[in-house]
Amino acid sequence: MKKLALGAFEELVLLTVGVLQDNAYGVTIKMELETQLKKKISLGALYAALQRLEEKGWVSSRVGGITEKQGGRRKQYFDITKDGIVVLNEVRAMRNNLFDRIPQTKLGWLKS
Amino acid sequence: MNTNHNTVKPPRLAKWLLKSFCSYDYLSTALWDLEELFYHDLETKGVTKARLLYLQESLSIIFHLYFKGKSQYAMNSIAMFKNNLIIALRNFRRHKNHTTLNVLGLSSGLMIFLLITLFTTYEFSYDTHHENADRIYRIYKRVNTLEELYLDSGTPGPLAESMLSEFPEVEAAARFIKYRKQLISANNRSFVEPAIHVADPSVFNIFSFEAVSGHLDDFLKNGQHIAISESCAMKYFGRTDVANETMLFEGETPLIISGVYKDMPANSHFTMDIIANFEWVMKAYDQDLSNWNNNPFYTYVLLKEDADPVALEAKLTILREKYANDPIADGGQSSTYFLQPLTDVHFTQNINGSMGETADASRLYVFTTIALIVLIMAGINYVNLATARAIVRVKETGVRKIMGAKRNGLLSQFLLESGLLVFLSLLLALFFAYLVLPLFSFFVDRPLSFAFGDHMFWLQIIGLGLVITLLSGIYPAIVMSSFNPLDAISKRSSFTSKGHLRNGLVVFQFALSAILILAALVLQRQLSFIDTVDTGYNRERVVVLSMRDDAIRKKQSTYMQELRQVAGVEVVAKSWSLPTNVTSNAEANWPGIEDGQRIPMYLLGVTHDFFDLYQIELVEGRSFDRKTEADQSAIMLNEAAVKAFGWENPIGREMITQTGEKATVIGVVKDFHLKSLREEIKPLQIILNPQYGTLAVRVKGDMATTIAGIKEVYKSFEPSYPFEYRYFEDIYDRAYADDNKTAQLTLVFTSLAILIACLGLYGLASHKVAHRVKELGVRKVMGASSLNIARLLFRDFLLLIGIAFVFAGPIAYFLMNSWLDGFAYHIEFGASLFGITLLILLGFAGVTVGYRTFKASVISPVTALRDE
Repeated sequence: MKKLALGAFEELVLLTVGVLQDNAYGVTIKMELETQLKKKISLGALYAALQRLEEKGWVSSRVGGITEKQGGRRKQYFDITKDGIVVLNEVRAMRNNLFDRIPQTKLGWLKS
Repeated sequence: MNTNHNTVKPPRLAKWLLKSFCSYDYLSTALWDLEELFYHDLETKGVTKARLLYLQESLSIIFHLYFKGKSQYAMNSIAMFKNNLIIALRNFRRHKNHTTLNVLGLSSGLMIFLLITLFTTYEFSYDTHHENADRIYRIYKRVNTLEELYLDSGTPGPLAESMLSEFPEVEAAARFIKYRKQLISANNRSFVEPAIHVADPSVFNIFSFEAVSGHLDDFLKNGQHIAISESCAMKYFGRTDVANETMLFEGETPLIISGVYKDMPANSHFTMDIIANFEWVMKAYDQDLSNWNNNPFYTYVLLKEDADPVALEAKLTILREKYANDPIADGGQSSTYFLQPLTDVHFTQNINGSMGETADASRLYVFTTIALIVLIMAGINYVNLATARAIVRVKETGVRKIMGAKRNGLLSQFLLESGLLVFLSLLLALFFAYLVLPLFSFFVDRPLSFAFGDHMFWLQIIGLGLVITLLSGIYPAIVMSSFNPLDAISKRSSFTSKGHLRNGLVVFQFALSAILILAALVLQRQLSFIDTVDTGYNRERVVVLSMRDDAIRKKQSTYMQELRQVAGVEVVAKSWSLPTNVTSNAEANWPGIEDGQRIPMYLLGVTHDFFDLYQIELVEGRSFDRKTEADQSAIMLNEAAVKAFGWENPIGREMITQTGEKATVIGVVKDFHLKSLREEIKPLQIILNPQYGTLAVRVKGDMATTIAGIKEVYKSFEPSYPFEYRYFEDIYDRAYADDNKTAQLTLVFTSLAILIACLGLYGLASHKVAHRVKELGVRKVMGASSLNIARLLFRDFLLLIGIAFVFAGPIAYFLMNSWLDGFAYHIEFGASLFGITLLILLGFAGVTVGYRTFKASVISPVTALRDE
């Protein structure tokens, strides 16, 4: 089976979902991402990413705050799954590994 | 803060979109988040921004769901929609030429359509902004004098009041008059105001004004009060709360500003910047407001809601009998009054003395028709190209059908394709229209702009797009979806298009182009005829000087004398009016005249050098002489007069002038045009009379230095008005400005129409060639030359153009002759015009088709045949 890939935007969303713990739903994720990235995130892009993450099994969703009105709104919370944590960790490890192999001389630029 | 939650709701449009495009479980999630965001934005960014963001987010959700995410959430029809969209885009990309042709044609047609519609709707919107526009009427009169019958918007002072007291259905009546230019100073700033109106206070009840400062009811309440517009207040004071400030009129009369009102929109037939109290000003200038024969005022009435204007108009005749004391014998009671709806005023050109620029409604209809024609041509292109493409896409359709596609599904697929193309073109058209709009509005002399911020505008645009999509897309869609699937995919497709319809449409297009070309040619020729025709006077190097200033008027003979001393000035003379527009009337009269001979004539008073100034030729006798005292009671005639009187030997004959004095005919001048070329040259008598009129000089030296010299002289009289002059040539040209604009616009339309027709032709030729590529290959192998092949392909199109021309000729002949008939002096509609038109058509078609067939004919037969 093909290994599932984690896209750059998906990774950010997944991280945010993890950070927000029990309170991760559309608006909070969007706002958190916007403060972190300092740019506008559209709900559409966010949903698309969440949808993919859910399909890949890295987030799960649960429903909360259903209103009584018919055809009403529904608050959908997202939680990071164990697989999600694993994949985040993998990505981070790989990044760190690569980063550590950048020669010391180049890393010296960071200090100036 | 929380009250907002109850009053402000998220935009319904966005909700509706979401509900129609999102599947259920996604919808509720999105709605929750969106609503929370909305109320968040509401508090931080305000209602408009929040609504906008809501809509934007909804669209992004829909977009991402269907085009970025997996479409498992979409409903089936949506999935098909997405699929169709992709197919359509792919198709556009694959057939770039075809798409470009379509988009180019459609968008140029649409651009013209948008601009013209913008212009015509603006024209038709004149005066509609008044709340009671449908109940406001202008009073005009029909004057029935001995010489002629004419309509005039001037009404007498007592009319308004007598209407109010006589007819209960009149709710309000107001008189006003546009006063002459005035020098006004306030707040240490002085301007010459071109448009000061003097009006009854009731204008504020009849027309819709909006007070900016002060109260409408108090405007003009007292005699020395004036009301001014917002921009006028800004001009003098730099602020708008200027009630109770004073303005100085003509340097002597202080008037108090009682209020400021919002500027009247530019699409009003009169715009008032400064309004002064009617009765007060008229009294100050000794105007007799009770005299029914003093007619310089405009009267506007507001009728009650249930009033019947037709019935009222019929009753207007009793007014003079009842109120006026002027027997018919004294020239009184010869006027009858009529009501004219306010919104018609802008389009009325046959009533004298109207305010504002008038427009010729028929000209607007002509423009609209032409815009529609261009649009139809662009639509036809689409139909043609799309049906031609149908043959190529026959296999695609076949496969779809066999896989189970329903007719409806295919229809919607092809319609979607048309829709995409149309809306793409529409956007492009809007963009280009926006780019050329400044030029266009300068050209038509109206402040036009697109209402991009108005959602009605966008609804109209979308509506237009949908209509065009349906009209141009439905036929190709039906054709393409109607193929029999078996025929469609069998190798030797039995489907061949006879193309009658397509040929018919090409004929139609070229017929329209031919009509436009003919119209443009006739217009150009008639206008250049107007420009070059011998009008009988010389317009060149004549400068017309303003005589508005009192200081100049009082000493005009000294002024003229000093002007003659200026270096470069050849002749100085005055006449009642310029020779382009002689207005005064007289009646032929001489001792022993018979009744039938009392024909109407024009009358022109001039000073001595008039004929030298305009270089009007003398045919017989002599012109007025300074040294001959008797010339004060001499008359000169034009040839038309002599001819009308049937006189063999006019010199020395006695005539009786308008004032009843005897006068001798001393000379006859060559006929010159007294009015525009639309009218025939009528009999004219010229008398020596320096009293009123227009002063003009003929310049022989350098124009700039001479005018500077004249200005020096003008300044030495210490006038309060600035020096103003105009070239006689400009005045002459202005009389035909409307026609000139029509001609230029027609030229632009025609070029575009030809371009569109050629685009269509090119597309069609491409398809003919593509369809016959094998045949052509075989012909080449068998020894046909490139020329043979080009001729073969060209022949068909030649025939189409021929047919088109046969249809177009008579129609254009009829149309343009009726336009030419409006001119008493006009060109003949000769055969050469038809010849030129045919040549132009053939030329363009030849280049278009020729280029395509040439490309086809030089192609190597190997390329053409190797596919199989």
